[in-house]
Amino acid sequence: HEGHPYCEIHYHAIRGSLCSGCNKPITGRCITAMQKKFHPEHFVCAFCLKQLNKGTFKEQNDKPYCHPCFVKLFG
Amino acid sequence: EHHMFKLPDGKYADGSWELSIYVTDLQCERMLRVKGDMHIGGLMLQLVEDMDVAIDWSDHALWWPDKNTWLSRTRSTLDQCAVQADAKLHFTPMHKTLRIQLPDMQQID
Repeated sequence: HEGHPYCEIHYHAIRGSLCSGCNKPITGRCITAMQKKFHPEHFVCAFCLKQLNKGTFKEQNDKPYCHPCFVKLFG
Repeated sequence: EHHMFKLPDGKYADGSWELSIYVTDLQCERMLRVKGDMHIGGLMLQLVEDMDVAIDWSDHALWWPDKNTWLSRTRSTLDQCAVQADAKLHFTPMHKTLRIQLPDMQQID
């Protein structure tokens, strides 16, 4: 990265490509939501843990929720 | 969190009170400070955030054993459900295993 050597974790930390769910590097498909990056399988509803699709989730207090759980918890 | 005076009736000066909820999956009791205008959904959210355990909570709901009822209308408030500080609620899965005996006497779960 910019001419300096880094281990894999710090390389991704500097590039901002660590998954906010598991804190491991994202090399393949990546979901960007709530100013964070996620492995697609780690972008999940905070209540039921089901995988979310970008665009269909609802955010509350910096956490993503699926529509059914959002309605249940926030009305 | 700022300090609040506890009044003689057990309520706090801001109108909040403590509610005990037994979480059957974790076999533990949690005390939450709540207010009567809090929604059931908000109570479940506060409980789950308080426990900070990443499991699928979607099948869980609040059960009130003394009244033999689910608090399933999550937009209702504690006042509307008549839940007060002496209520002992359970947070438990709605789907449970049931053993039934068929007419031919065989049992299935």
